[in-house]
Amino acid sequence: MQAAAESPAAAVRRSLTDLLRAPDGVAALPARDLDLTLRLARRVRLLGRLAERLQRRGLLAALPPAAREQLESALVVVDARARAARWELDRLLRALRSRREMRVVALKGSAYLLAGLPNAAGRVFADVDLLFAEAELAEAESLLVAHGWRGTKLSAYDQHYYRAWTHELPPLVHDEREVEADLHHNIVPRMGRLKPSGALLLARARPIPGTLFERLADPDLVLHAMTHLMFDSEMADALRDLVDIDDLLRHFSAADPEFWDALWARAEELDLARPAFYALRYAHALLGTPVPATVLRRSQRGAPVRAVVWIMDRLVPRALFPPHPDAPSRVAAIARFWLYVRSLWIRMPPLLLVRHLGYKFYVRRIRGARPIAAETRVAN
Amino acid sequence: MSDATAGVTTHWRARPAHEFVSSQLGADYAVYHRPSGRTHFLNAAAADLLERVLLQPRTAAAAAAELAAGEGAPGSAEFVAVVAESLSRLEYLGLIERCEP
Amino acid sequence: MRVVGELGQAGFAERLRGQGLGVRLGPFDVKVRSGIAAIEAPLYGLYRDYPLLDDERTFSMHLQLTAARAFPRLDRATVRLLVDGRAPHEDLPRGQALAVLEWGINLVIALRAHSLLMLHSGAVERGGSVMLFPAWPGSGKTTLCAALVHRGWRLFSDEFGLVRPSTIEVLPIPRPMPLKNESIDVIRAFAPEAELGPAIPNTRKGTIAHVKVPAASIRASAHSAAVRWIVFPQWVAGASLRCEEMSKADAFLMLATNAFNYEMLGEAGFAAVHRLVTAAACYRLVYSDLAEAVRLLNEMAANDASGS
Repeated sequence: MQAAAESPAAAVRRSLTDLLRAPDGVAALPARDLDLTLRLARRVRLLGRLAERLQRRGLLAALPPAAREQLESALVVVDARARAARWELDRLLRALRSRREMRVVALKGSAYLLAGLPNAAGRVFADVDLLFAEAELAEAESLLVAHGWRGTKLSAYDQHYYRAWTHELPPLVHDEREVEADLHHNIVPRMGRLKPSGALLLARARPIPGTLFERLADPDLVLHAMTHLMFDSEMADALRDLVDIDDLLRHFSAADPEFWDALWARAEELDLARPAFYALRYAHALLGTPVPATVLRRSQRGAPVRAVVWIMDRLVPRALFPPHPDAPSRVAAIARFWLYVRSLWIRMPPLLLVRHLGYKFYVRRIRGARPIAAETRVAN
Repeated sequence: MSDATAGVTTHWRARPAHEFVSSQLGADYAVYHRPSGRTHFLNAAAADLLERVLLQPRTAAAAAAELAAGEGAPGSAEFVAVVAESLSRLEYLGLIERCEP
Repeated sequence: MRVVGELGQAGFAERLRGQGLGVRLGPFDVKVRSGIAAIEAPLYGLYRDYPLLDDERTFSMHLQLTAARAFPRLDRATVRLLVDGRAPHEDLPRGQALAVLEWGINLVIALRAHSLLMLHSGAVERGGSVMLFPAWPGSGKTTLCAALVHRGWRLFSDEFGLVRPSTIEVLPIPRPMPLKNESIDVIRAFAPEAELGPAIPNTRKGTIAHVKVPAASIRASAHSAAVRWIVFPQWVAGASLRCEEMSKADAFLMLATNAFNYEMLGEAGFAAVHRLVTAAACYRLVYSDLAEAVRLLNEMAANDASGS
């Protein structure tokens, strides 16, 4: 084989790895490479993050206009979505605590935003996620409905299926706004193999200073992100979800040297060792997360058989990096591939896999043409 | 449709002034509410409520009296009812809140 | 700077099919690839005056038209629009490929360009000042723009009023103007010198034909200008000409609700719309005779020039 020009897949991988490991370097890229980086950043929902970083470093102004305008536009979207999320949280809290001082725990993006965690910067917020004690979920739902929230239109069958299968209620939306509120009582599907206890999570939840919200304890917050990556993540979001995990791990471990030990102990306590094993492994390998060797060794306790790990090592990077934007798109093949990867991760028995496929189909059909969905595919 | 019905003793107050940007357009006002990102169009009376009358806690009746005094016109029970409804609407939009007296 | 016409039609087609055609459309540098032979000639006609760009740059967007086939039958020949390799909407009949490209560019602008306040509006310029025609049902803004542009006005856009929020200046983005149904004949009659692309039947908006942008408007697309008039047009069959001042409050409401991204911009959008309606004279225009309306608007511009 003669010396070949870089393959499209290799170009994608290099471009995104450079973006994640050395974002400031993006500002110095030749215009053509910058073009590919921006297209890819947009595809993996990291354009806002890049924009925020370059703005903070004072590197935006010197960029060519077409690049600068795209990044400035991304910042406008970031601000608008953060504003919408904050307002929605404000309104939700007001409704939920209108009768008594109900505990409301913010999850995922909502928690990052309220707590000012580093991965909130440049994030494009979408839904709001809240956690309740299982016994209080019905009350929470009825309070919101009384204050103007509505469920999306579901048949009785779909409602039952949604409530039985997932760990959340069908999403609620307020009459006047578009942000969806997802109310959870746990962080993995009820019928999944893993059974972390919602009560254990709530027991360690802590207040978010300056707000009336709570959030999960540091290790639990990270474990939730890891679980989400394995169970809920759309393929287009998987890399960003891994970046979230990397951010959080660096942030918490820098503040507390005991954090790593606490993380792994909690992973085993909550029966989340498998997602934690994978997340640590790929964050370390692909993003350079400084996971101590001792922790990596210990996390092997959550590993599947070596043959599966070997397969995953080859499949996961392929899944996390998107196809080159000029390459022919094979959407259905890609979606099937991701489902296959995930099914291996969580070792779903074939019957459950069929149901899982059905669940995702229902979710897409139920949620229908969300206002955000079409937009985000080409915009964010 | 929303909260528990307000009673005669319910007190209202506008959200802090720094949350609003207001511009007069002829006889009406366009008001941008920063936290919600929404723009509202208010007539002079509603703008008066937001920018002056509700700077401190008032009941619906007291707010109506203040508004009427500003107009140089006597209030009426009907007027109080209209004001009460406006207060409900402003609360629903997130521009004012119930508070302690 | 090179223009597309220097490629010649053969070179143009080769670009489209190969590395892609880079063109500057106002503030946007656009890359287009296409495997659809039938659009090459008409697209060349409409695009020949635009600045031609090489690949050593960052583009604002990458679009691609591909020939897709729903089922392997000739009568189901379709075109697929891809933006960065993904389809934002379903495939459409291949005969509409030209319209699909133009709408596709509009879509991507509207979804992405949030460093600007994007009004859904026509915009033309005369004597250094811009007249905006915000869109609302029955406005006929595209027909009005197409007419004015052949009576001494410069085209900024028939679809997008791109406003820089910090300065409220309007940025030109002159692009082929899609006329619908009867308007095609109206403009052919009003401006026989106008160059039109092919008539595209059976689109969801009826029959469409694009008016080519006069070269002078394209050459001037780096020059922005301030808004002096905001005119809300309404074509009503048989109506007599009527032009009335509009209240600032009404103008604000109409302009904000006719913007693509007013809410997205938050306070900057609010401030920009306020400044626009305050700085400009705002009118409602009712008309049925295009020539009459054009004369009135020309007079408005002339009076303004001499009066100020």
